[in-house]
Amino acid sequence: MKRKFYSISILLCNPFKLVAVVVLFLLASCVDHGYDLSKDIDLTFKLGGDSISGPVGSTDTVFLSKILKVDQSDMLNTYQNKYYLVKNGNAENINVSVKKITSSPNVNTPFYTYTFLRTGDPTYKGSLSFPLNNVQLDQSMAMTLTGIPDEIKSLHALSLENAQATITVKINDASGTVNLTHLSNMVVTFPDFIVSSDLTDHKLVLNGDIPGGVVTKTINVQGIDLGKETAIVDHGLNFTGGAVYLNGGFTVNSSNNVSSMPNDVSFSFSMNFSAMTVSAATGEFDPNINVTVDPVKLNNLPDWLQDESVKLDIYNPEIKLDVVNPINIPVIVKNASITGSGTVSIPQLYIDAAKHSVNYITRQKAMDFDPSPINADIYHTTQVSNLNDVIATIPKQISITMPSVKADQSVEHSIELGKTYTLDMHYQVLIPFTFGGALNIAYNDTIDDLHKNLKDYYASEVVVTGVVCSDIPLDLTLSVTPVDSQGNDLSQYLTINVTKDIAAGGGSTTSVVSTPISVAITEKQSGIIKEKLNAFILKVGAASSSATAGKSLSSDQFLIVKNIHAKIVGGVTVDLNDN
Amino acid sequence: MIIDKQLNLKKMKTKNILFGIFICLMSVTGYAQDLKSSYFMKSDNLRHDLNPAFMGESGYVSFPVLGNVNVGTQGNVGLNDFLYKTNDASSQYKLTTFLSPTVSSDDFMGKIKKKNRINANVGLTLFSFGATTKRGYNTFQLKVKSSTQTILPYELFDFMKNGTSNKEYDLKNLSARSRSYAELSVGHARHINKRLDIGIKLKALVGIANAEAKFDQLQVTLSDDQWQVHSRGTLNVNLGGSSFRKDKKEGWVNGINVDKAGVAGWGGAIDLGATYKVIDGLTASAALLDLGMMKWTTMLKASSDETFTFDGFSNIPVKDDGKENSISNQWTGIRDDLKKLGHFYEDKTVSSSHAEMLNATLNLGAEYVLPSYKKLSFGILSSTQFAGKYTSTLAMLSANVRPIKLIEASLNCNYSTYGTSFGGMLSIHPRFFTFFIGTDCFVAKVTPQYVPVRSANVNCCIGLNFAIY
Repeated sequence: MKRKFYSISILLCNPFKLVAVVVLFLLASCVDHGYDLSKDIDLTFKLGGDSISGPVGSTDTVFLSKILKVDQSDMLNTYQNKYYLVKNGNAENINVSVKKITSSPNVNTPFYTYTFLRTGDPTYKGSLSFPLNNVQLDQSMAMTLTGIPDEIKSLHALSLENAQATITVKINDASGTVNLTHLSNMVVTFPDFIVSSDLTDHKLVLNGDIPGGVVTKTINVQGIDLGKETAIVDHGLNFTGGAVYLNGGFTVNSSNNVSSMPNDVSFSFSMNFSAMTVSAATGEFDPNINVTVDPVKLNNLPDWLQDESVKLDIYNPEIKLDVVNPINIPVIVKNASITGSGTVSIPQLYIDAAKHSVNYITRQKAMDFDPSPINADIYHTTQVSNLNDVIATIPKQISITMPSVKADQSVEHSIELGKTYTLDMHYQVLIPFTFGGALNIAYNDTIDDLHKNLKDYYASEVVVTGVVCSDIPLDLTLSVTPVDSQGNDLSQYLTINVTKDIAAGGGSTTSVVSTPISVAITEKQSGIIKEKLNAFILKVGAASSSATAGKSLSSDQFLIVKNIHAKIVGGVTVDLNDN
Repeated sequence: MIIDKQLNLKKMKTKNILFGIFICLMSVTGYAQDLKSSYFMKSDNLRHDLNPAFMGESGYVSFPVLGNVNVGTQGNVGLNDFLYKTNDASSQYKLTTFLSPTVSSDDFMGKIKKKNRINANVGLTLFSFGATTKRGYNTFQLKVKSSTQTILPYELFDFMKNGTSNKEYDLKNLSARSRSYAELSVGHARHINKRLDIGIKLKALVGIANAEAKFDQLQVTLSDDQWQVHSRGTLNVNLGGSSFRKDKKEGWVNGINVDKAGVAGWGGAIDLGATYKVIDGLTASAALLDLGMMKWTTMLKASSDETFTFDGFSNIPVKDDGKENSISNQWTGIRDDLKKLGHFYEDKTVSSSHAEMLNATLNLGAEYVLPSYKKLSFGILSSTQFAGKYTSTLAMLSANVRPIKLIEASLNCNYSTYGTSFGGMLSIHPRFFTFFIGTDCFVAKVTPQYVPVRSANVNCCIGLNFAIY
């Protein structure tokens, strides 16, 4: 005790030591190394208390043109803002020909002989005229034709090349003393089946002096007109055309010095036909027409049509058949079929002769959509009520078969023989997105790269609400799947409850429908948003209904999400540490 | 042998003095406040700063500049209110902030006061002189004082920690003030009779700088539909030869140019004090300090009146990220708008000068000397500084002992606006000088960087004065 008191007294008496003790006491006191400010401090902040909520705002107007982009697919286009799919196809070269008639028409050679002086008749000197009054040549003109090809079923007329008929008028006198000197309006009336430009109303007039004593007249024969369809039998036909008549008169001059005729003297009229080539014919034909239509492959579809849940119910899909038919024969296609996801049959298609024609094969009675109209000579519409079956579940390809393509044999047509005609056939598959009541499409999108934005934030529950304003005439359903950076589904760790149904709009800016929506994201495993979540796979199903049937999907339709609010239950934890 | 001993003692004393000065000089770190612990220390010749009626035991002249160095901070919150140990051995971090999710709201908000104050004070006695005369005790002193006070309202931390929807936060008490001036004072104290002593001190004040920034209105309203911040504030600066530096684009104040340093104001104050021996051993005292005003000239005023409203991002692009109205671009705009809340614009419509009252202080004390051991006394002190919203009070219970004339010590416990602390002072008063060191707040724990852990109440007062007789 004494020692202690002595120590204390020494201290009290030694002020500077006392000062040192006090100062050290003041300063050093107790250093708490747990509060070492030179070490890093955890900068993890929790904001928002029990929950924080506030406005997020509104999206801009999301036009369908931004979501359903036409450059996603070469099949997708818009016309007057309406979406449609189009795929073009062709048929392989369709060559059609009717073979030539191998033989030359054989026309008989009618003649006429008039003996006006007989042997022993008194002779005379000078001119004598003789009338011809409706004299009928001995034989009717007839034609025989063989070598007619199978394609020709009947003939009405023939067009001839290099065909001539030579008429010879002369006096037959062995003594040589009687000469033909003059024809007085000799009218040669040909039967109707001889078609010649040198005839006028089937008549040839020979008139005038005959210096040489013989008249040889050649006329060009352009064709043979049988007057009616004449059936072909055994690749040939026989035709009797009618008689040739002569009217008018002739004058002879006699210089005979004898008293009586030493021989008969006659007037002769004969006709000979040259060899003829049939270049064209008019009749009924049945050429062989084989049409092979190349199928179109529906690849490179836009993403929103590739989902297996997609079902198309298109109000008026079309197949547009564009044919240039150079043949002067109409073509009838019977029982064509179009095969895709289903097969439909087209009873008949009519391809006009020598015309550029367009056939619209439509579901409805009339065609109502053609973004690339063709300037054709003639248009037809054929209704196939179940045409949608072809595209109901979008097939990989659409094929058209035409097993029966025949020339129309109900009427006669003219055709060049031996010439190959090529039918040019193209077609378009047109699927305008004007829908019926059972359309279903799916749009998928991914909101990704979330991890780099979320890795510093922790929140156990987030609720986002808003109002979707839509004029898209389809009922929309939403589903959201969270995934990690490897694409693994995180649904077992993260619950996402989303308003599933968004009501369809009316299809125009004056028919916008508002639907409140809510998205609630709740962690089932703590920290999963911060550590794992990288993307949301958004699946939007769009379906038509009876209420929206007949409306179209247009690129100017839109969605806006307004009045977006977010609530973070339990606040949000932000990690600002550099790690 | 005795002479050797005396010589050795002298050497030891010299060493110790030098060592002591070194230690004391090294000990002047950080900030401290007025040393209330010296109120009952009779050996402290500078007690007249607390009550002009106090007379020194002898005349004195202070060590130039180091006569009374008074540095300190005050605060009713401390480091451990904002930084917490993680207590997680696996964590790479030993400390986390109050915003950490591991710190419960109740734990943190339970420590936060309605007005969270952090002050800093510096007082430097450039020169002080006191002399005993026939009539009493006269003093002459030149001091420089600087004080900075900040208030952070409870709602600010409530908003930061718990900021939640459908609530309005009123942060209008957010403010800061700083004031520096030089004080030339002449004091006189005298005995009126055996019981009563009175004192008076006249002060001439030269303003060095004055600045105050406050928000008259700062409301944050969070609702589901809208977040709104409305701020209305003022910034007043008095600094001789200065002007606002402004942003070239928008003209808001972003600094101060001092073209030619000068006097920022003039003022005067008076200290009044009295002591009264009630009975033997019991003395009551009262003092009213800094009763006066300062007229600040060259006033620069700027104000802000902004409302920031956020009701959501507009036209958030869904498919085109690079659009002009993308969230990142809109967020940049929002950040710029938020920054405007803190933009002050010069207001030239107000007068370039203004006068204001000083922060008067009322000290009321009573000391009782133990009859059985007259070297020991107990004192009680109430000190209130009237400073508007920065008003603070202190109540101190002190035990003072002077076992020998050479040494006087005081230990006290005080409760103030800034919390409870213990203080003490030691005065060594040999014949020719007085050395004192003291604090009103013993620092229990500090960080390795010597930042107090528990509260911001730290001060140290140290001084050296030479006696004259």
